[in-house]
Amino acid sequence: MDLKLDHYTEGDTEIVVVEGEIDVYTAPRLRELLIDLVNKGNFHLVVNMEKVEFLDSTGLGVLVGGLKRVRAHDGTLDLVCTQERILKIFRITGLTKVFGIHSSVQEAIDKRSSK
Amino acid sequence: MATITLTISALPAHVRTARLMAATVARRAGIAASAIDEIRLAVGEACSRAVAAHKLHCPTEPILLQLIDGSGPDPVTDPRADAPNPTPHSNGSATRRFEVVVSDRAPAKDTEETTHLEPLLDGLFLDGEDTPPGGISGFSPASAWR
Repeated sequence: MDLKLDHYTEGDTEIVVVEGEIDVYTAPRLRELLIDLVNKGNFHLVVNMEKVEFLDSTGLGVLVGGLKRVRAHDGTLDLVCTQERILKIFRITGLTKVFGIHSSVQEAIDKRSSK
Repeated sequence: MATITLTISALPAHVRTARLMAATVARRAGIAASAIDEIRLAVGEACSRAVAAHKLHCPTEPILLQLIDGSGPDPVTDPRADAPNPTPHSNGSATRRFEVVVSDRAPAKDTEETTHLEPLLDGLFLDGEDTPPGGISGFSPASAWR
C-alpha cells in the first residue's frame, strides 16, 4: 500500500493521519506536509500512526525532523501508535525517549494539556 | 537451495518492490511470521542505502538482489558441524537459512559517502542548516556530523 495522508484540527492541535508505508519513496510527502503545517503556524502536532504498515529509518528521520521544527517554536510533536511492530522500531532506536507515544489521539491531547 | 535474483533500477519506488519480493520469498521458504517484518525492514534499509549510493555515483546502474532460500540439508556446502537441525514444515521441506544479498555498484570507499548522513540523522539537519534551531534531548547534533 502507498502512503495516504490527511490532517484535521482539534483545538490548538493539528492531527496528522498517516496510512500505509513510510519509506524512502513516500517519506518526502510526509516531510512536506509537516513542513507545510509548521510554516502555517501549527506548532502542536499529533501524528496518528495507527494505520501505518511499514516504517523505516527514512520515516523516522522525517518524524525527528518534524519534532525539531516544532520545538524551534516551543511546540510539540506526539505520536499515536499501539502496533507492536512499529513500536519496536521506536524502541530499538531509542526514540521512545524522544517522542511522546500515546495509545489514542485524545490521550495525546490530554497529556499535553495537563503539562 | 533456490536463488531468486531481482534487478531494480536505483529509484526509491523500487525499494518497496524489493521488500515485497523478499517477504514473499521468505514466507514461501517457511520463515517464521515474526521474522518476516524484520526481513522487510532489513531489505528496505539495505536497498535504501544502495539507492542513495547509486544516486550519488552511478544512477543508471541497476541494484542486484539475491534471495537465497537454503532449504533442505546440504552437508557438503555447510561447514558448520554444529548447525542446528532444520525445522520441518508442513510442506515437507525444511529451512536452514534464508539469505538476502543486496549488491550495489557504487565505490566501496568514498570520501563523499562518509559525509552522507544516515536517513534518521538527516532529520536533524534540514535545508542545509549546520546548526539546528532547537536541540532534541538525547541527541548530539555535533557528533552526528563526525
